[in-house]
Amino acid sequence: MKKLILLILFVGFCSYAKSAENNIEADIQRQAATKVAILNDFIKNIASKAESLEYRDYYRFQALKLFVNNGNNYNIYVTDKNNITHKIEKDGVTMQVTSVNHKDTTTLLLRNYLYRLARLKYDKVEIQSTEVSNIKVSNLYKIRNNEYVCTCFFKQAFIGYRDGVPKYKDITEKKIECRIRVEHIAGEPEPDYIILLGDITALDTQRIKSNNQDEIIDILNNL
Amino acid sequence: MRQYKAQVKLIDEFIARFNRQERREDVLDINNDTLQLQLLCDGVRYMSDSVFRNNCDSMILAILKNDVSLNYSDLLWYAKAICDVRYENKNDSIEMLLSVEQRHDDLYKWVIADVKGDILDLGAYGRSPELYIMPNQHEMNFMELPKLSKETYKYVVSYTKNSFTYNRLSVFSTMVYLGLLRINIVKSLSFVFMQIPDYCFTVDYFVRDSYNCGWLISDIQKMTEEQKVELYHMIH
Repeated sequence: MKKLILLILFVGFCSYAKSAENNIEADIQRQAATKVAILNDFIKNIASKAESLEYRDYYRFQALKLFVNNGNNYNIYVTDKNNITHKIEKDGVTMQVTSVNHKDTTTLLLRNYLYRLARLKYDKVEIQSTEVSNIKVSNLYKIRNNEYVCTCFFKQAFIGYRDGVPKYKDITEKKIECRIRVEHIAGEPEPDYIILLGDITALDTQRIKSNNQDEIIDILNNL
Repeated sequence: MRQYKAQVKLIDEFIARFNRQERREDVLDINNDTLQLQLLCDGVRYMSDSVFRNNCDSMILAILKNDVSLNYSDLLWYAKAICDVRYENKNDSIEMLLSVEQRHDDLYKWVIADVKGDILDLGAYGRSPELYIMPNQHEMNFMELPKLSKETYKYVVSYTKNSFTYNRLSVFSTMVYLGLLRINIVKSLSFVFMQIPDYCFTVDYFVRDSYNCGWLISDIQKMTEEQKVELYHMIH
């Protein structure tokens, strides 16, 4: 009887531990999605022709702070078989860009993409992205102690206007890498999760065919 | 929004739906495992191709009978990436197979298991009976060697021992190491899963204005365990 009680307690404990682990993972996934949603809000501001270039560039720098090494080049150090350390320069975060006007996918440095986004030659730009609660987040993959990586999927619609007429309209499916570092702070019961964004892929771009404003709004609301 | 939720957006999502850890909620019978698995197949092909449909249904029976589930750390799946590459100032393409390997404990990574492509085929020109190192060359300080590397380098395998074979992955690694080959972009990506007894299926990404879109089963092949062992040794 005692053994049975101990077994039940043990199974209960394991279930509780697994449930707690799942809750932590879900919490991290939510935070990752929130980080991506913040980026998408900044992107709207960067592209907003209703604001000054100074305003747009301010949000450009805010957006870069969300990324690994602020989107800049960085060095990594690798040790070879003779224990000699070599410095390797890595490009900053990259972003794939697609267009309905040509089939090839281009890869740009994110910092260059954001610079161009702030200076697009449209009179008005509308950018709408998937709501944070609908951003799909992958499992967490451990890359080293206290460091994980995951992927977030979302859609983004882009409409560029000239003389009040939508000249370019597309919806792109995107995936963004999220790096998560777990920091245990002395005296704090819960760890901190530092989330930095990484490379962005563009999976597919579809033209928005409709010119009807209400239909376009409907498409944007259903991302 | 319902279409967005129905779309299989990530491979992790495909695996979660396959394992019935996540379910399409926009169907009448949410708890019907067979239906949930059918919804992971390319619906257009399922409706139009009776062989595919029969394979689909038989495979689903096998999945449920054997309670098969997919896991990222499984050794019985791999990725197939078609890559645009730059070689000798020309654009070309290669097919790359990648598999999951354990680093240590609970850490994993993707590794390049094999590559295929015309530019990696050292034996494209084969061994020519007219090309060989002359029998007197030991007296000539082997002065033909610089010539073979300049004039007949495409036939280099002709000058190697009879038993020489080459490994495409070594050729690829050497070309990248020497800066001769650059990968521009992954043009297309699919995944092959071999975990189901007697079956192997491919998952591709479908872009269409439909609830049946995203990562879906595009092809199913019957496969014996011997064929799987052969494929396993190729990727690991």
